[in-house]
Formats: sequence, C-alpha cells, structure tokens
Amino acid sequence: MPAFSFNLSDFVFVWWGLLFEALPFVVVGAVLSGVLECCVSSEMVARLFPKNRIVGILISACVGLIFPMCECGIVPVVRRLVRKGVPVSCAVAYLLASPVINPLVILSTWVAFAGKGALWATSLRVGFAYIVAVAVSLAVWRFLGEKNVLLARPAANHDHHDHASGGNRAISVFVHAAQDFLVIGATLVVGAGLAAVINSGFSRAAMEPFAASPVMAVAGMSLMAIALNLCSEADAFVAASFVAFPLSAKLAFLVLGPMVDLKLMAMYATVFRVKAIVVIMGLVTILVFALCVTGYLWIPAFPT
Amino acid sequence: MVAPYYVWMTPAAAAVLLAMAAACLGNPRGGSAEACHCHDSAPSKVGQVLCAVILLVPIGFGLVVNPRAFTMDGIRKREVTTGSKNSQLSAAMAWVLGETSRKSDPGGGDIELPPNPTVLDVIEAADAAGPAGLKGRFVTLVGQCDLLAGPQSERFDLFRLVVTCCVADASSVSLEVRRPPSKQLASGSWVRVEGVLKYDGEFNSSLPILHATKILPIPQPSDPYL
Repeated sequence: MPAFSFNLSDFVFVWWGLLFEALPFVVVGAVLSGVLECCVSSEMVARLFPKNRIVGILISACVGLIFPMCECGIVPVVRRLVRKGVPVSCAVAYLLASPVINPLVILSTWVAFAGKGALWATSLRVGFAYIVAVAVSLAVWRFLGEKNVLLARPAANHDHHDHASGGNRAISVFVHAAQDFLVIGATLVVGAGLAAVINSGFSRAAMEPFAASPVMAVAGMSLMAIALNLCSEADAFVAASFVAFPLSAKLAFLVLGPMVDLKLMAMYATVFRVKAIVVIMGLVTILVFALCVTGYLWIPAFPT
Repeated sequence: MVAPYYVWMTPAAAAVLLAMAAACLGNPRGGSAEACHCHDSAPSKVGQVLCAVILLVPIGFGLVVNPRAFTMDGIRKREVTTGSKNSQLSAAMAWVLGETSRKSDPGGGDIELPPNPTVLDVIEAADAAGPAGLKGRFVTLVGQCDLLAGPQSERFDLFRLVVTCCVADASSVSLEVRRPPSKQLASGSWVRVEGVLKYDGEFNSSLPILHATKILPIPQPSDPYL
C-alpha cells in the first residue's frame, strides 16, 4: 500500500468528522469570548493579573486545570483576553498549555495508557507541555517582543459596562460571539480541509520504518501529530496503539499535536502575525524534539 | 462521524448559532446607539461574505459526495498494530535492553472476556494473557469483512473501527478469520462470526485466528464504531 493516496469520499468523510467534532467547541469559545468582551473589564484583568511577568507566565500555563479548553475553542477566548489587556506572553502560555494541561486530557491519557505506563505517560505529557509552553512564552516576551506578535493592536480601554445592561448585554454577547465565530469558523474549515487531505490519505503502516532510530521515531511521530490534527482528548488512544514506538517518541505526538497542527496554524492566523506563528510553532517543534530525543536516555521505552 | 457522546453537541451548537444569528439580525450594533469601537475588529462586509461562503463549502461537498463510511482502502490505511507484536521477539528485546519492568512473558491462564466480546476485546485479551488465555475459546464476534484475497477466499480479516472523538482518529483493528469454502461475501459487509480461537498463524504468534463454524450476514449495527 502506498504511504499516501487521495480519495474524495474519504476526504469529505474525515473533513465532516473534524468539523462536526470541532465546531461545537468553537461555538463555546466564541460565546466565552463574547462574555469576556461584555462582562469583564480591562481594569478587572489588570487587578487580577500578577504584575511580575514570569509569575504570570508560570500561572497562565496552569490555568487550563481550572478553565479547560480544547485547542479549537481556546483561540477566540485568547483573542479576547489579549484585547482585555492580558499580556500576550501569558496568553500564549495559556494557549499552548491548556489543551494538554486540563483534567479531561489528563484523564484520557491515563486511560489510554492503562497497563502501558500510565503514570509515566501522563506525568511526562503534562511536564513536557508545561516546560514547552513556559519556554516559548518567555521567548515571546523577551526576544520576539509582545508588540510584534499580534495581528491587530487591541482597542484601548473599551468596556461594554457603559452602554449595555441586562438583555442588551446578552445580545451584545451573542453579536460579538457571532463575529468571532464567523472568522474563526472559516479558518477552521480551511485548516480542517487541509488536515483531512492528509488524515484520510496517509497510511498508518507507513510509520513502521520510523521506529528504527530515536531521531527518526521522534521526527516521524512529530510529523504525524502535525498532519493528523487529532483533538487532545483522542490522540492518546492513537499514540498508545503504535506499539513499535517507545514512550519517548509517543510523547512527541502527545505534546506537539495539541500545540502545532494544520488546523491550528490556520486558526492562529486570526490572532498572530504570520512571522510570529512561524516562530512560535518552530520553537515548540524544536523544544519538543529536543526533549523527546534526549528522553531516550532516561525514559523507559515500554513501561508498564 | 463522531462518537455517540458527541452527537448531542451538534444540535446544541446549531441552536446557539441560531441565537447568534438572531442577535445579529435584531441588533447589528450590539444594542447600543453609540459608536462601538470594539466592532472595529470585526471583518468588513466583504470579509463577512467570504467567511460565510467558506463555511458553506463543506456543506456543498457533503451534498455532492455524500460519504457514509470509509472506503475499504481508507480503512486499510488506518489499520494499527495493537496487540499484533511478536511476543517472543519483544521478550528477547526486553532481555537485551535489561528492561525488568516489562513483562517478558505475557503469562498464561484463563482470561475473562465480556459477555458479548468485540474484536478489540479479543485483541486486548490476547495482549494481556497470551496464547494460553484464549486458545480453544468459542466466541461470537461482529464486524466487517475485508476480503483482500477475493470474495470466496477461505481467509478474510474481520475488522472494527475504534473511534474516540470522531472519524479522524478512527483506527482499524482486525482478526484473521478462516472458513470452509462457502457463499460469497462482499468486502465491507457486516457479519456475525461464530468460531473457535486458535493460534496457528504463520506470521504472527501473538494474535489468535478465528476458525469460523458459522458466518451470518447482518445489517449494519446502530453504533458501528467501538
């Protein structure tokens, strides 16, 4: 069987599956972003947020434990958080970490790896994701420059408290949600389409030769994570099924997938400049690769 | 296209989208007579039309192509090797690498299968218990046929698709079935197979082969995914 072959029916089947699964979460994210816009003031954000940027980044990477969001629904939320004055680096930390460091994904990872080193897989997935999210956020803050990252400058000090209340506020929430959904939904359709081309055409058996060496295994699993575009609740079960690959290589799939894939690249374009997307995703990929290849030295290959 | 526990989410999301549309039609400026600068980040009219057209494209594809399931080639691409590793080779590798935490011998003894086991249950049981646990067991399995060797072949794969969230993460798990020459089966058709599990495969020592005593074509189950 060839490694890749395109079939229109399979492509549309996977495309619809991705959209059916992701659109409800994008709708939830859009509504939450509308609530943020209409009910949360910039002053409230400034009061709640730590003044120390490093502390802010370290905390933001853990916020997914309290406010879990999947990688599709989080994009409209992060758009609004940034407009409300949340520092961009902290928003990036939340964006990258929340799809992995949340109770649902931790539980699904544990279940997927039950009997195959669940404690190792779950703790390392969370740990690596935290390290990568914090490191990339620090790089955005220190080297990239927070002003150079965003697509559009956030409007200054605009709150809806002044002119919307009660029923009007509810309508405002839905109007803002609709605006966000229109843009992000369209980018999701494009990203999911690209993802469906690869997901439906790629043969899983083509991965077997990649298990031969650490570098090839990690690289192969990383490419598969970017290409398959699975949601973070499901990817642990797919990763666990690749029995020929040691845990270190599977961690590349588990950590990189929720942070970098074709669908997300399209959706990030509604928040960040292209150059920033390239740098952020490039840094994530390099860090995950380095952590997982060096992991061959100390992580058990097939723990039980 | 999605796991059963996701099915309710689509109509719920559709209801919320209708509420958004109603809010936009009723009050396009968010209920305020004042100029609202937060709407400056909203797309232009042209942008809104373009986004709406993009959202309609997959609907158009779906109406034209109308896929109901994966093609057989699509399913074969998603086949995974869960449980289909060589247990003797794995034990040897573990000895060479000095891995004491990994079970070198999957062990023996009976393993309990659920009352109506699936293909996945049998594969997982084989992985856990090894040949001694399943050899000689009589089971009834439901699945789809993959007749690579032809519709009257004595061998075919009985497979099921395992879906966690949606068909994008679907993986195909299968067991080999051997049968006496009988009527034709079609690839992709659903069957109920009754038979005995034996470990007499040439290539793979860790997965049993189902020697069928009875094969009955059945309609597609209401929930085709595991």
